[in-house]
Amino acid sequence: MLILTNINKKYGSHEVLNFSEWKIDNGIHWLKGGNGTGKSTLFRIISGQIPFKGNVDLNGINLRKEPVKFRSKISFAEAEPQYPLFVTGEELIDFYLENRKAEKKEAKELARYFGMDDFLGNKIGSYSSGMLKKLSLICAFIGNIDLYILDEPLITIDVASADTLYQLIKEKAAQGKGFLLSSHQEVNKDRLELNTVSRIVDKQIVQS
Amino acid sequence: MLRLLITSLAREFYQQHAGFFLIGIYILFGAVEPSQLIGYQKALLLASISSPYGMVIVFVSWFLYAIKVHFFVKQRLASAKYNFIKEIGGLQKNIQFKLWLKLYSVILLPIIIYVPLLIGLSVNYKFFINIISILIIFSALTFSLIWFAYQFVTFSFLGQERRRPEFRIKIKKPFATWPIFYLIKEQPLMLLMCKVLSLVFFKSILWMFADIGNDIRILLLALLASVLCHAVLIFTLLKFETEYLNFSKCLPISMNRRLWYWVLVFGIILIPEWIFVITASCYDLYSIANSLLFGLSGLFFLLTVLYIVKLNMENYLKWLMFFFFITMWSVVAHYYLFFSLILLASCQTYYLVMFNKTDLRGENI
Repeated sequence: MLILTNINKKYGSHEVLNFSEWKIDNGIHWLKGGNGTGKSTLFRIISGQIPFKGNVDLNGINLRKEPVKFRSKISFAEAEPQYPLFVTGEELIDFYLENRKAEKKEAKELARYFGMDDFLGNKIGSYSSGMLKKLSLICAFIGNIDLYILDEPLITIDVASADTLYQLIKEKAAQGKGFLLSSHQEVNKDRLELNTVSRIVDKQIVQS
Repeated sequence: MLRLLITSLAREFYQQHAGFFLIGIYILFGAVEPSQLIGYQKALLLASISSPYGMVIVFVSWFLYAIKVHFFVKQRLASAKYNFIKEIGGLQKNIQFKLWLKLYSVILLPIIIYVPLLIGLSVNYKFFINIISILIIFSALTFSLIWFAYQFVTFSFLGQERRRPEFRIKIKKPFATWPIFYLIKEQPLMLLMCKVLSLVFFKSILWMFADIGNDIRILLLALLASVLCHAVLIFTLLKFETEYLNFSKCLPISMNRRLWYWVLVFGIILIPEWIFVITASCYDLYSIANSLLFGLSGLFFLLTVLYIVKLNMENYLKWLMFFFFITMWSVVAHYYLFFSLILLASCQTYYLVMFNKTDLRGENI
């Protein structure tokens, strides 16, 4: 279970988030909302990327007290991933495998799943935006993760890859993993059963 | 438009090369007592014009400075953030030339100040060939800079894609070395210029105090000059980490491991300086060990300052001035070992404590 308490986040004097509590269980959770409402900021807070006021706990592990252990349990795929252009997809994946203590065959399987196995030896600088997004999704699914945070996972990827992603999310959710998704596009509810749908309204998270 | 060019290009050029100018000002104005300053300047200028070697050194320095300016402007123009400058391409050729001339008059100010002085002295001492060569070289450099800028802004769309020779040797790049590969692959000129300047300043300081003999403090002052030459390089590395390695912030990497990555990067970056130090110290182990500690702590300080000022270049410069004077005093007063240890320990503690509390990316939002 993910519990956020007394969260406050400001950029300079601009307050983006301010709420007392938000809890979600395992399952698939969709965060809706337009640009600038604070979805990505919320995801960055949960993934331990940016400083904030308040507390974040995942299955009893506190982000502030045990940041390394916490980070080993979550996975974050950014909306617009940025990686060094001179490294190859394979080198990036190897780095994730090393840190998440995962097997190489797992990454190979994911690459095949997303149709990226032929391109992993190429430098990231040669990738299209769709390929870059798929690479970030492969990296996100590596390892034994409790909570997957996917920011705009459907943008720039083709229809076939979106199908693959839906399938993967369903498989992982069936194993008891949690998902926190954000998307401008409507999530196809026939293909992905959502446990909750929330939105950020006036710095608070409201369940729809 | 000129105002925009000056604030975006000239101002940024001076900001980014603050370490370089700081050392230059020290060599030209701070190395002697104020009462001897005019005599010292005159002696330097006379040494330049009275022999062909002197003139060659002056022209080579101007040439290096002009190359630095050229690549700085070219890099900015190639960046999407500076696309607005390409609007100049719609202006008439002579208007563009005038605009670039005015901009380069600001950027080339350190050279322009010395041109009339060198010409005046050459007239006074009847070195007429020097006058002609100074005018020709200076005009040629300025015109070349203007011409390249004009060509780049107006005709860059005609340029052919460069084809680099492909070497198929595969080198596996561990994560810790990615900042080094970034410098080699994407910022090779900055790295080269940084190392050339570092060597020039290192040797200049040794040469300035050559009469003092084998003193570790001279070695450390030379290394301080080299460290300051890395100010922009460290800024670039932290920008790279903030933009391209941000994904690693949500990976389970311990703080100690992150710290060791930086130690490794700094250790590799300073390899040429380690070689200068080892040879200049006549293989004295005490001097070498002190220099290693001093160099690493200096670069760590630059990194820490960038965290403190959150990549704000103007505030970074103020800290560089402070660092320069406090370090000079510590070295001259024989406190160098204590200073290096305190500096390294406090910078590392700051990094360990503040890494998770600082959002360098968010500051730019």
